[in-house]
Amino acid sequence: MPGTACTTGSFGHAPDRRMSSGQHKFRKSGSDYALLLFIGISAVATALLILAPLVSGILLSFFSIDSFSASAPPAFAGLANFAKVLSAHDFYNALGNGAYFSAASVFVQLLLAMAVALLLNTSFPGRSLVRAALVLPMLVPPVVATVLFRWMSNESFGIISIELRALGFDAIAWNTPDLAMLQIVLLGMWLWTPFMIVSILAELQSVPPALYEAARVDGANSLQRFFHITLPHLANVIGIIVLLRMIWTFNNFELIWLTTGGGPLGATETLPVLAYRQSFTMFNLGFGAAIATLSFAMLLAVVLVATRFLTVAKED
Amino acid sequence: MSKSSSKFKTQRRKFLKQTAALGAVAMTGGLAAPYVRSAEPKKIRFLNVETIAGAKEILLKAAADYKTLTGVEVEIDTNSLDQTWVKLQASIRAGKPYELFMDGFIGHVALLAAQGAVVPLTHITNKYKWGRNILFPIKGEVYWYPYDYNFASLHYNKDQYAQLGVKPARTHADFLKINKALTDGKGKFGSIFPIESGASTNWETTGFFWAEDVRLFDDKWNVIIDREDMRPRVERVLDFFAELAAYMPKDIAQASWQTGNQAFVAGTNGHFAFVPIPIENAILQNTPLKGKIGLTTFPSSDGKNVGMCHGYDGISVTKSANTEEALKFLEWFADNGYIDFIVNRPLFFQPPRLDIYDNPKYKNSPIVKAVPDVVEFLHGMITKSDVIIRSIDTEGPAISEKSAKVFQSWAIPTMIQERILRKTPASRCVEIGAKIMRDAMA
Repeated sequence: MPGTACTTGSFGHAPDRRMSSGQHKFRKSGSDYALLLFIGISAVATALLILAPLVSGILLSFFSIDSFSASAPPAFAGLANFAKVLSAHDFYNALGNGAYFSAASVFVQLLLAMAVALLLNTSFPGRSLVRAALVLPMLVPPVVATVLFRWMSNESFGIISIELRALGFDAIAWNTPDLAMLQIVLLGMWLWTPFMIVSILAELQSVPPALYEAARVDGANSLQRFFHITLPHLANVIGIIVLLRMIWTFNNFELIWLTTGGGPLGATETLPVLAYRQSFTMFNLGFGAAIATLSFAMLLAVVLVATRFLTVAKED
Repeated sequence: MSKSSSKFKTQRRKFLKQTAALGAVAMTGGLAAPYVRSAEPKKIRFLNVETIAGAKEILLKAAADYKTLTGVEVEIDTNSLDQTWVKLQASIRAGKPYELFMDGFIGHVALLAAQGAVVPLTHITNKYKWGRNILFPIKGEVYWYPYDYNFASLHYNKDQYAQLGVKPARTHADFLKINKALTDGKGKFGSIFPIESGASTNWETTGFFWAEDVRLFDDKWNVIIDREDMRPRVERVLDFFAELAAYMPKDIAQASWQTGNQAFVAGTNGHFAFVPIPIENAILQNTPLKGKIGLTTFPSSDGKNVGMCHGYDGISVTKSANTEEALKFLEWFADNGYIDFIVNRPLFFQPPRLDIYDNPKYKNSPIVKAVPDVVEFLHGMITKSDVIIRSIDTEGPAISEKSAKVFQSWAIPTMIQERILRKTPASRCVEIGAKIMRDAMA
């Protein structure tokens, strides 16, 4: 009818004029319910699979549980587990190893990823093939990579050892206190650098070529173009992937456990490995949970600070 | 009312009706369930840890035969050994324990016995004669039916020994000489014994300590490896490892359960310690090593004693609503399916029951007939007393979780690693090991 405003409510449905405006707000369509259903399923899944175990693990750290005793109930221990953890030499050894593993891994991966991404951002024959091949390590499960590496480096029959001897060198003893961590860092580099390459390359391709042209016209050399155009453009994405990689590396369990088990002599034991060892081989569930809780708290603090820093940098 | 909303209402009404009907059926079924359940045949669950080819199949056959005989269903749940304790505990805590379970550590059984979670099996074990050091009675009762010995015997290549003109060594010096002769510095090693912080080291490498008559505890559970009389024995073994390391891979910390075995089969290793599975495999697969693998004991510094690392497995019965049925099945299995279980792998599952060695099925097994010297060696281990047979988990005045905690503390692997990888003096290694043991038991 002329003069009658026909407005659509949210999601494109015409409101029923017989209802009040308050009722309009709460009347939901079929697709509204569908949306709520999907959100609800994710929320329930998150609560069940992430929040519930997290809270349960934190609560466990306040109890003393003797896993040798099948029927004895847990005893409330207050902060005793945390006090024990903070006075244990193994904790600081694991913390130091974890910090070193994260920092060394991410530094090496970032340098290599940057170099490779810059190369892949240029044109050369077979570039697509190289780009595809570089992603392949990401598809290999860590357990497969570690088993393969252990077989290849075996001193008796490993292909790496045989070839080294053929060239007149000795086989490398990876599982010694001096080289064990290097072995893990190199394995991690093989597995995870492709992720950084892909992330940096994607951002590189969004840099407007006109900027480089203008810089060339102004007489800037390649190094100056890299530091004044490329790097500032990549700053944010580098910040994010460095933060993510550091968290994932610090929390990594399977690569270390499958390669060295945290040894030899604690040389590669990090907090997740220590928490596992205490919980499931020494059967100190509360103690292991306390280690995991402290690790979580430390990482949370790092993430909060880093996120704030990244946000400030973006605003600038 | 529009056509679409009418259709929706009709569909909704139909849906609600159908749901209500389904709910009614479910409720009726649920009410009837107790009657239905009581009419179902009884079922007992058996937690099996043996995954070697044939073992599970034989247990399944035994379960099927038992069901045909008695109507009682025996569900065989196969799991790896290292997950068994966790799974068993979970079942006990949940109030639905596995009625029968296998375990490779008597300390677990002792713990459960102390809590009243397992029942005595003395009336079953009393029916047979047993080899030494296998029943582990707790306050006069036996709480498990041991089904095998798993000694970590020292394996060697008979042809290599014949070429060198040597016999199995009883002293460290002789053993080192043989190792030197077998090492070529180009990927062939004299020995591979694990030194990693894991159960493989605790089981495969500690034979040298037992040969030296090392004890871990006194009668009051005090750690004694650093005691005046015990320390020199431990230090001698650690110094021996420092010398042996020259004939083992530099990356020996990488070695685990099967590393020595695999390198031996590949012809690049002279000695390793394991159950005689490689001997069985060589016979079954008719490989060039068939009949060429010998077994021996671990040498000591002066040759006065020789040692062997103990290993074993057993079946226990938990306290549950079906304990009586479980006991009946175990008693039946001991006289029926057990012999087939053993004969499937008669060296790996070395029988602890002495009557089995005279059983025609055992004596005529192709594996037993192929290597009578190996069978004689293994039989000698459990009947003679001049070999020191020990293990970390059976050390101490009684079977207890204390020795389990020391086992899991990796104190002995740590001492060996310190000596070989960091070249720490043996005396300092002993102090480190003693501290780890004491901290674990605290």
